[in-house]
Amino acid sequence: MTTILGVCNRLRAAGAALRSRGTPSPQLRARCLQGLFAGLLSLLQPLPAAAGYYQWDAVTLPLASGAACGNGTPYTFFVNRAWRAKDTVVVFEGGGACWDQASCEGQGLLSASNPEGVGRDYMRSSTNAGYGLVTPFISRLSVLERVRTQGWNMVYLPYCTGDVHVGSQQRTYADRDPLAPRIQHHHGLANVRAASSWVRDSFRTRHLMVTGFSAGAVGATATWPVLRGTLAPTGHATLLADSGPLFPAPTGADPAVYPSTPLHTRIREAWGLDTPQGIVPTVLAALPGFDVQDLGTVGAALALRYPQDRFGYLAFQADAVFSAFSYAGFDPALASAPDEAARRALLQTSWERDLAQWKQALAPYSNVSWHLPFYRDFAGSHCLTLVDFTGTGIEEVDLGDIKPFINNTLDRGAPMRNTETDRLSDLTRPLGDGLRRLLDLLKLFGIG
Amino acid sequence: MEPMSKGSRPQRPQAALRQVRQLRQLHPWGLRWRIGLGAAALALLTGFLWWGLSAGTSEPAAGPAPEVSSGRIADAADAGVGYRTTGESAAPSTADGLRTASASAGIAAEEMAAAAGLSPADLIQLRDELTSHPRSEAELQRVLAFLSFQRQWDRFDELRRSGASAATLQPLARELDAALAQRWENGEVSGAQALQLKALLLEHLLDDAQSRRLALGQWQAQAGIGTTLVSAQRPNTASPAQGAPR
Repeated sequence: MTTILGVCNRLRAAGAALRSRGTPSPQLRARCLQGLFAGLLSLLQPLPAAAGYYQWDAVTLPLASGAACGNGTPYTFFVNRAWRAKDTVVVFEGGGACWDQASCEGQGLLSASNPEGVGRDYMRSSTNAGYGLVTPFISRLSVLERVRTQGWNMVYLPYCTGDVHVGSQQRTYADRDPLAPRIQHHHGLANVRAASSWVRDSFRTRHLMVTGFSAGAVGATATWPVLRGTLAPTGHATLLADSGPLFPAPTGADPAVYPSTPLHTRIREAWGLDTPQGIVPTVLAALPGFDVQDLGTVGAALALRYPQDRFGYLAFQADAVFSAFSYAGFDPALASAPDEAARRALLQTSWERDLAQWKQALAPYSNVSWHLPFYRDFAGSHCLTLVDFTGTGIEEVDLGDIKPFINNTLDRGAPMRNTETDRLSDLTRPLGDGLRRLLDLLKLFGIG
Repeated sequence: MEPMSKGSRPQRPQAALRQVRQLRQLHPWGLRWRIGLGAAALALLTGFLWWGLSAGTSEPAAGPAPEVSSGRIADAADAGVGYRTTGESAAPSTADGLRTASASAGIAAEEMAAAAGLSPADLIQLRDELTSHPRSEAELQRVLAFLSFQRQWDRFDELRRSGASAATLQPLARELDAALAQRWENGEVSGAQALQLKALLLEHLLDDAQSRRLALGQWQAQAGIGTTLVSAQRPNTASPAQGAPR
């Protein structure tokens, strides 16, 4: 039956594509044909069993699919289905990034998480990806926050490739230890493709929400055409990208004007984004409005290509972690900063410049919202959807936290564009219960 | 495909067109014929498979579900060959056998369904969906137990947030606490969530902070929730005193 469901879903996706495109063109007919062949082919392939209700089931993808973790081990993701649920939330895990040997091996500040891969017992551990599993979007219980998607089917995509889920290249890093180099499989894009196919073949999706935090937010944004196209939701499709902005960064531009250009240049090369099988030529280049010389145009391109979808972007204006990733290894002034305060000030200046240009690029599109509070006294003001939503409000516009923003985005309300101007109140705002409890747990287990 | 917005750059059809032309060169017969033949073959195959499956059992759309009890998480070492979920299905029971098993546990299931907020009609539907599960009655009971736990948690949470008294909250907290280990054992909550739930419940069950810490540590060890300190190597760049979720 699962096989038949998979076939039906593939056919449905092909049919939906045809319906929405009006008069079939030769390309569309060819795509329909591809869908039919894929459906027939899937009858001959061993398809996955469906996951159980209300349990985290591990799905290990075959290496033949191209999916793999950074160390070459099979990629495993997790599914939690709800009885009678028709809607699906997909969560991209965050956890650093890497483009050298030490950071790909998980060593040092800002290194990539899960360098040894993701085991099938991943959800049993309490400490994955810096406790990122404690996000309300993968909880069936309202211990942290009550959110609408807690009754939906859930898909959790762990992060183990160091490439913000978008890479398509195997690299050998030997800069730290030439005698024992790290062979890094930057296979993030293949993981997303294969996981999307599994989900499509396993259950149908009416409304779809894709979310991610930090590196996961970058992945959720950049792979939107893959996931959204594969799952082909019959209802609303919503992106909620938390603290992983792809800022405008034209190739060759002056970093003083576009501070993220050096980072983008580095990752495009390291992760194979422009290789023939890379995300730029195979996914993003086809988007109207996407400039292959500027990854930062993806936000506008998605808004153009999917006008009926909603795109919600979250970030703190004082995010000290993503800004460090973006500029620390590239701006010589940061390395020579006389003290931490001066370094922080330089990071903040670049971050604010990037934020302003990002908002400007997204502003023309009526299906884009953003919510940018100033500061939260937790994790360097990085990520709004981790643990709980306390400290994510913008009180000057009567928003106590991000819940109204999330609901508005899901409900197709008028776009919300919230930027906090008060830069003092957040500095003294107390942490919520969930955050306090987590910090107690960290102390209990000897962290922090 | 959605209509392109005004001013958008046209898509690049050249590559797709080239593919179509190449297809036509390889296969001189028309696309329409191929679509028709493909659909007919698919319909035949689907009908055949449907008939074959229907003759064996009344399998629900959900397909085989994983096992219920402990040890659900398979060894990572066996991963890598083909798609797999954690559940390893045993031989499916016959429909008659399932009905017998259901009848013997019928009363308990109905009581559990009521506690979970399900109507008798809901229970029938859920049971029908689970008939193909190799341990369908146990799976039904597990699902009902979780839904009951979830409903009880919602009630506890509402009372807690509305400032209910300790006398009201404590009995509920005790019941939830007693059931939590099973939820964790069944893989219904992640390790991190289990610890969060336990910590919150203990706040309502033990007055002393030191006792709570001790109880939480003991419970974590007993439950076997892993605490490999991966993140400890990556302190937060901005506030080292705190954890480093990224």
